[in-house]
Amino acid sequence: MDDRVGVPARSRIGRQIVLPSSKAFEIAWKGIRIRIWRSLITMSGIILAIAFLMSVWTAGGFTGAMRRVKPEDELYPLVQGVLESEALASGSVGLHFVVVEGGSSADSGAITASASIRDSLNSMPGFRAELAPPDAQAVIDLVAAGEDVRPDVMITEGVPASLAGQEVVAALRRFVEDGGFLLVYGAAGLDKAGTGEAFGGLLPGAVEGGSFAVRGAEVESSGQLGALWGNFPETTLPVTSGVAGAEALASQGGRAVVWGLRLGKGRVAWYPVTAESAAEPDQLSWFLRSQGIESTEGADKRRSLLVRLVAYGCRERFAGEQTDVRGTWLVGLSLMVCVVGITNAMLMSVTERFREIGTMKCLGALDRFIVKLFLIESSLQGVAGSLVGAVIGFALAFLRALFTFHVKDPETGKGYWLAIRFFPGTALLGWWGIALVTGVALTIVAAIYPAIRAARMEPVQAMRAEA
Amino acid sequence: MSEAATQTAEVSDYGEQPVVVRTKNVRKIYRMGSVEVHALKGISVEIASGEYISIMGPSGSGKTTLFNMIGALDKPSEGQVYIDEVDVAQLDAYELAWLRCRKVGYIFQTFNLIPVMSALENVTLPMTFAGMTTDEARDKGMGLLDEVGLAERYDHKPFELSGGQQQRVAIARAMANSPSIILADEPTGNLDLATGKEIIQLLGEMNRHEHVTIITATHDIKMLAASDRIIWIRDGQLAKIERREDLDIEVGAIGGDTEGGVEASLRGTDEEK
Repeated sequence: MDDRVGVPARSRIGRQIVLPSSKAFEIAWKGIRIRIWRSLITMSGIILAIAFLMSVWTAGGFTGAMRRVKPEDELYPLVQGVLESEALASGSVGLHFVVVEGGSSADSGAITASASIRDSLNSMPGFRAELAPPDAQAVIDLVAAGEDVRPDVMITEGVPASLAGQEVVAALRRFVEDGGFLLVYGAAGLDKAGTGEAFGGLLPGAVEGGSFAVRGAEVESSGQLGALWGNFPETTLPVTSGVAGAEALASQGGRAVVWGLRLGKGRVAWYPVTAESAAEPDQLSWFLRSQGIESTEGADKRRSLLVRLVAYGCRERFAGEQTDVRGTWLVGLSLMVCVVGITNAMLMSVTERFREIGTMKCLGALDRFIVKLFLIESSLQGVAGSLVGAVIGFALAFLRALFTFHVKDPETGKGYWLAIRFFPGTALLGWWGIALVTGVALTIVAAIYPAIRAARMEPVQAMRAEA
Repeated sequence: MSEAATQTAEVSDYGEQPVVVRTKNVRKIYRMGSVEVHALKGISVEIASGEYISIMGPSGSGKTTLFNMIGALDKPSEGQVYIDEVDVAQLDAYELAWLRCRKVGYIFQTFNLIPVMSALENVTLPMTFAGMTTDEARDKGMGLLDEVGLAERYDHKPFELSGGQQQRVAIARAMANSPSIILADEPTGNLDLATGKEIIQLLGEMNRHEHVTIITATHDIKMLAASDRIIWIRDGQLAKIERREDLDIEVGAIGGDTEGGVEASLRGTDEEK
């Protein structure tokens, strides 16, 4: 009892300010241990969400690491082989190709070429290819048709004279601007100044704003190579069997691919044409063998090789986009579900602990202390859940990557664990950190409402005899 | 409310002791939809420092509501409650928390110990809120546990203690910051006869040795003998205030059992739980 005389009564009442965080931490920590089953239920939501996130990121990390392997590395062809078969295996994207028959050359081999391209494409799972006559109206109808009829990729061998008209070119331009791919295969017709320019306008700058078009042209002779280069500087990537032609191109500052064409997301990897690499065809034959192509003799085989590579690139581009959107949507949804679950579990906990909360307020705890208590409790659960979830997610994805990226050199029979050799350590460390932060942030966000509800509880609630 | 006025006049012969709790025409009205429930209909009492007061009355009489007013757990709809001459309704959240921490100790029917903490940790929790250092708190806590007879069980958690032992810890906790007032809501409600007696005895000891004002709300007749005054509440109003000396407790004997006898003789005036 304060017996100071003459002091106004009100000033004898102090203001409670002590908010011991260590005490809150202690109570929260003990609380989790005692209510371990309730905590596990809360944490399992976080564990699942973070495991999911982590496995997606880890898988992406390994694939990314594989893509970053440089051509100079001795295992580059093996890596590329795996990446492409992965793209093929994992893609559930179906692509629709239309191959326009014939070319401006009366070469009967050209007709066979279209058919063989079509057959090559059809032999790959998920791809559908058909032939179309080199008729202007037919092409216009095709590209103006509805989505199920209109193809994803249009392949023409050179520029048939019939397709050089203004209307056709305009239709094809619309097709490309809408996201379709136009592949001009073979330089026939392209090197003619008038035709070339009109049609060629479709190829280089036909697509703007972020998407890119696949383009390529096979050049049969160095003469055509030079002409092609003149019309379409920097935009044409010739695939040539002629090393000499490629060298000539390289010396003019251009790029050339010899025998192999790699297509990735907007990037083109190529075998650099230098005097040394030209003298070492071994790298190239690696690749060919990994594709199951025994010999590169014959125009047909080269064409089908080119088309196959282009097809991989198309698939990657299409599939990659879709996975991103779908993937982000899925992840976002699962995180939201997780947050709702945690909030629910915590609200139940708050309702059950009305006595504890009311009593603490009777002992002098301020509202802020109660909020602190619940937030600390949930962050501890968030940390624990994120750690476990990250470990599980990483482990699952790592195991899968380990076996996916295990290749045998077809020649020597030696096995390589590419996932270990090209382990993306730094990237994964970053993902771990983000996963942890995400998990803790999620649990804290989920706990805000229950914590505030708890803090608003009146001390008189502690007096209630039943819940 | 002339009866109440007479009662207030009676109280003032405790005038030498300062008044620690005073209620002035306190009313509490609950609105349930369109219906108004008058839980308290204007109650004025004064409680002097060092008194042992029992508030008694049947369930629904408003005794718990009055109790909550006195303990600064609730605000009156009309009227004032003064603790130490300070109008409780004018205190902000910080001052209320300070009051509950240092001036008032609470004891509950359901003991309300923090289940995750040991007996000693429970007792020292309010000391931590009051800013005491860990060592000071531990020493004082052990001292209090010793006073209530539980020194050896200082590290036991509540689930390892019996009901009576938990209530003892609760009493020690209520005394943690040497409060002026102890508020006990049905302290023996969840205890058996013998244990209840022990608790009442302990409270009486605290009252006498530590000079702390004890205010209980209870149904328990055994509390009568320990109280200085009994405030009877009926139907939201003050029914009467009796002093222990004036109480007519007939101790009959049914087979020599005095407790049974006390209950038997008062059955007419009060409802048993």
